[in-house]
Amino acid sequence: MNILENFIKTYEIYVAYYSISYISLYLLLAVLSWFAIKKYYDSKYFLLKEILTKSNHTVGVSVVAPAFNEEATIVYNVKSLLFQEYPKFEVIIVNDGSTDTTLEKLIEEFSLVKVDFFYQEKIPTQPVKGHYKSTNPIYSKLLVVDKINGKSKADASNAGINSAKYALFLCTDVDCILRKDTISMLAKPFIENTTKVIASGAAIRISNSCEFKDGMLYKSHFPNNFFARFQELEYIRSFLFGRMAWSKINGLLLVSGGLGMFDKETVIEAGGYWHKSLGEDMELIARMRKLMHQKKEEFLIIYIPESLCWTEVPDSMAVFLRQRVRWARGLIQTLYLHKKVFLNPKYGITGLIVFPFYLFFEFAVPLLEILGLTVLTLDLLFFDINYNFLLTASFFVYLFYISITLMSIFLDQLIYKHYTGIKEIVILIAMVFIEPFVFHPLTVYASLKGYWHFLWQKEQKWGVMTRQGFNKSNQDFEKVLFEKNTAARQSLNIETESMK
Amino acid sequence: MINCLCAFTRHTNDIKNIPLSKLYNDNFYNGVKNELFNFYDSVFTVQFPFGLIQYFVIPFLLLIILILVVSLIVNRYGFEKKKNIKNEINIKTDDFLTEIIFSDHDTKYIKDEIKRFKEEIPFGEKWCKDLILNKIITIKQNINGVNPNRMLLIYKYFGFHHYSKKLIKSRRWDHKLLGIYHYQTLEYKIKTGHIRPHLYDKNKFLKSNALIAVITLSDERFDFLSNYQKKISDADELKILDIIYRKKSELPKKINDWLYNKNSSIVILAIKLMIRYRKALTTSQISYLLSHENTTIRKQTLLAIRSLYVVEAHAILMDHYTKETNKRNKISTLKTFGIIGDHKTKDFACGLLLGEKDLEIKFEIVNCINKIDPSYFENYTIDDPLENDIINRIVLHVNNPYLN
Repeated sequence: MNILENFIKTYEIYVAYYSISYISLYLLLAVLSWFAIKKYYDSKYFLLKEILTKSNHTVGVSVVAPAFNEEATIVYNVKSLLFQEYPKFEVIIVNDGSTDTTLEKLIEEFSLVKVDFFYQEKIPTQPVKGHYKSTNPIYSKLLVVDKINGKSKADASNAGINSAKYALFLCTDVDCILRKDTISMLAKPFIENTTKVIASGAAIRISNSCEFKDGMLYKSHFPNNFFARFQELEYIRSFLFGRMAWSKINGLLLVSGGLGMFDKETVIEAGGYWHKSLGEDMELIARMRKLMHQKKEEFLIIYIPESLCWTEVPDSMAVFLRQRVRWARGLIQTLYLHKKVFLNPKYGITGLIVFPFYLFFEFAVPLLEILGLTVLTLDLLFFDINYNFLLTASFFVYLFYISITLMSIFLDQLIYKHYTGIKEIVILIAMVFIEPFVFHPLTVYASLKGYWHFLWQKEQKWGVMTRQGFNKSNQDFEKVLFEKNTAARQSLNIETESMK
Repeated sequence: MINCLCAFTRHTNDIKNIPLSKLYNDNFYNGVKNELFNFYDSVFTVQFPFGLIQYFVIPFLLLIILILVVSLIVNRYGFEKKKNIKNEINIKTDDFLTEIIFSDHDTKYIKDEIKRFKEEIPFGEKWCKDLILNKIITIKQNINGVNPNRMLLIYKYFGFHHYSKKLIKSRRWDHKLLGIYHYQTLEYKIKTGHIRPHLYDKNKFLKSNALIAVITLSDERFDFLSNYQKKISDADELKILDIIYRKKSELPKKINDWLYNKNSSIVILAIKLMIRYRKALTTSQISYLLSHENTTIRKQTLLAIRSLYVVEAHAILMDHYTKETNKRNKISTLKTFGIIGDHKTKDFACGLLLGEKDLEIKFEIVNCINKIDPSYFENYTIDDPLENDIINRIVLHVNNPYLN
């Protein structure tokens, strides 16, 4: 019993110090995030987006979007991607061995023909069966890559990167709806900074209840679905609060797979996405950071506080848990794979700050929470409990948690004014108060399951998420796209004429 | 915690009441020491942070949460309430500005109308001012043929010049940026003097925008850059090129001198300007620029040769190709060969073809030969089947109408 008592006492002291450092760190992140957001908006007149969208001298961008069995939404989504307002870009759809009619739908809708594309496998992938281009000049920016399924998004993305012609590429999911200025907003950091930028990212929002028109967001709503509601809160907190702060100190270890722009040369040099990874986005950034540190080259990974992408999130418990288990497994996999970076001064901020943070806080928190519950049970069974202290400490943690979420939401509302009406804001606030009791335990459970799967090397599965599709109006889409292309060609002609 | 605070207060009172000579008394000194130890013990126990959390942190957090919740609701309520008014003002402003900008009224009429309009709307509100000013700027930037003087007049009659001046005089750099933006877009030339002091500011955003504004507003326009010694960033280059496309400025008189400027940024800009104004580079200039140590200068020179179709440069280029160390520039040289090359160039490229291992460069070599002589690869075969396959695949790619 003495040993148990000593263990519990030691654990309690450890947790006390851990909690203090955790809270202090979050307060520090809050301050950093505030400064990062402030600097971003203060400098908005530095390089106006309009200059980028009108210039022929800007850097070209390839949009890479893998598609697997997306026959329900593929045509609409590709049109949405083609709708980007940027002078120099291409859209690469990688059909990752779909077993449905995804490719046939693309061929039919966009008048595609197979072309003799000289494919160079700079990053190894599953064999590519062919490349398709449209015979319709309206869709000249579209390239479809048809390949054998590689059982991962990473493999498909790599095939897209190999086929990309521009120096930057934007990696997204084909089901994501992008804001029409997404390319220019993400390309801006690459142009604005004199230090080499290797990746940039922005906030992703949840599309589950939003309305879309002509491939663009028409009305933003707070999700109706129970799971989606909490994920919306989580996304706001994570993107606006956490990632902006890490961006401020150039410590980002994650640029979402759903929306991220990358320097192609660096990605290829780092070896591209790792197809066996379950968190391939984080793993790639970890490898890119390592590479830059090894080359002793200065670099930046930048996040911008803009909502540029809307994606559908899991709306059922089973799919949600599967996704979170995969993410947790991806985290532990990445940390384990790059364990040599940990506390290694050779890797600068990545080794000394970023990796320790991810290990001690992102990875360890679910473990400590479950350990905490165990200690509490032991206390209840064998020792006395100071209920006053327990309740006060728990109440404090709860209040701290919701104040951080509320701060993120407040910032989000101050900047964007998303959602329709005050009713949705009230629901959003209500969700903040119940999130720690309802949603948080699920994420902890999923994390622990993910760690368990990693330790026992369970077979990796991606699973299937059934898409609801978007509330859309498609009738004028083609007309608008045609007008847009004509206008772009005219402006190019005007420029060419004026050059003569 | 309260006990500990009381002890500390008690102790300080004791110190005040004791004569100075007694402070050196050993007993007293030990007493102070003990009190301090007691204080230390009481602070570094579980009781102290617990009390702190219970009586200070939790009430503070509750207050923060309450403020945040109320602010969220009030902010949204205000936004929803203002939405209709804003829409109404938006429509009114559109109608009003269309009327005064595109009709042929005299200045007195415009002045009176603006005065009347300002009384009709909540002009004192910041959002209203911003809305109108942004509309004036948007019209100025996006509609061809609007009279810039009239736009400037409207800007002044609304009193926005005071607002812009206030912004520029502000201590905050983001305000200064906005003020400079107003002057620049509305071409308020007379105010260039207010911007010049910021040309060498420590803040990179302010320095850059001041530079662009001075180029836009000053009469000497690009000549001003002759003596500019700072590095011009990619963002600045884009902004300068934007000015070039928007305005019909003349090519700087000393453009040939710019090519030999010590500041690489000025050299790059000079090449870009020469491309824009279709002013061909001479062979001696090309030789000099291609031997420059700056990779970007070499890259821009190659682009200029291509864009300006300087056929005389092909001999220099052949010589340059073997010396070029940068892969992207090698590819660019080959692209240039494809545009200006002749049979000599083709022979040179053919000589490179089989020895080249890098597929990206090989691709460009094939493309270059194919552009100069489209029939060259019609019956082309070599002994190595792998190499043959690669070249055939490249030829198919470069000849595909949908890929080029």
